Amino acid sequence: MRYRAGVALTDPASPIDIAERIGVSVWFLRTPSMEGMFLQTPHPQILLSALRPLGRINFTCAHELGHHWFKHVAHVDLNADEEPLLLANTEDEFQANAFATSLLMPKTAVQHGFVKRTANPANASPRQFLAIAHWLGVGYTTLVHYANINLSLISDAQASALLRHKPKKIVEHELDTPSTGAVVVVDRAWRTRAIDMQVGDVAIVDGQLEFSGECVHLRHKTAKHTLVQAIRPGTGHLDGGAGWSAYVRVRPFQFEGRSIFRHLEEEADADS
Amino acid sequence: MSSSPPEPSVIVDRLRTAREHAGLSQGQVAKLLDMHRPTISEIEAGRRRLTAEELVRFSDLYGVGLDWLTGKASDRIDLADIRVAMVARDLNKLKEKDLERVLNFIASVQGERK
Repeated sequence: MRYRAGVALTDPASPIDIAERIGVSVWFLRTPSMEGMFLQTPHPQILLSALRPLGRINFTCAHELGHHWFKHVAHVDLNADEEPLLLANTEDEFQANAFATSLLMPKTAVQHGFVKRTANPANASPRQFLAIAHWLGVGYTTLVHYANINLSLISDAQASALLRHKPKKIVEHELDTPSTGAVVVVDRAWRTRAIDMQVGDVAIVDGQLEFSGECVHLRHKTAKHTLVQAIRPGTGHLDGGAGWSAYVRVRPFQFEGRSIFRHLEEEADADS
Repeated sequence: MSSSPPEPSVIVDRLRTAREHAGLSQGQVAKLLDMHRPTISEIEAGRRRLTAEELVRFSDLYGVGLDWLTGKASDRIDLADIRVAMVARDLNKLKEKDLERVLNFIASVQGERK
């Protein structure tokens, strides 16, 4: 599917963008008890809960794309406790999960992530794992488990040590004030894909920045990082100098609707 | 399925519902369809008649079926409906409010133009 969607094996993949590119409609619904759903008729469509963190949404979307790829019958994936999607209990679910992990975290992309950060998975820090997880668009815990169990890049002991760190705590000291939204770690190895945020999220970006667009504003600067906060839907551009830049896309908080509209700027006379 | 001709209010209600479910404001719709914002407002208030061509454009933009938009199709699909039989197997595990939302969604996209 990466080949069909034109995404290189070394790059991160946005399953929502891929779905749109291959003609699968994606919708967000504010449904607490529905994780995701795939419908074959009248044409392929994926429904996702708008109430989940982005890493979870991406994994669910990739999972539903797997059902499309393997032509499984339509079905619902119910919300469950932590990491429910890694606990497949039917052949279809197993296939869809394998598809999702291969799409989001192919070994080449994961290894490329470490190489670009001149890091060795065997002794990489929690922050480096967090930055790579965010770059790949997956959860920190998901990446650690996958690097340990599926890719054998890290030992059980290292995985246990990494899992003792909660993602928000890893970068908590880098924030000026606690964040109620998600915190995205963006380092200078972040290439080839947009930084996806929802209104209220904060990005901790390495170094100093110039930015264009009105979807983010400067929240705080330190000697090492620039904190930008997503304030309204739309797209923008971050320019860190020395050849580094990235696009940023902001969707409304818990956006409900067609995915193709999630980054539209609000019109001045918006009524709803 | 309804057999009686749709009332204009049905179309008006569904246009507004479909726009909100697509995640769009009236201003965004006006921009996307190259129409004036007050025109969208007039249409949703039932004060301006739609042409067949405009209905198709709204249907495409909102990703909903033309039959649903014009009130020819029900706003809620039945669990026994054969077209969603495979889905219904698991839908009964959803919380009632979410199930309602999902069934409404499925009803709206059935027969969507691709």
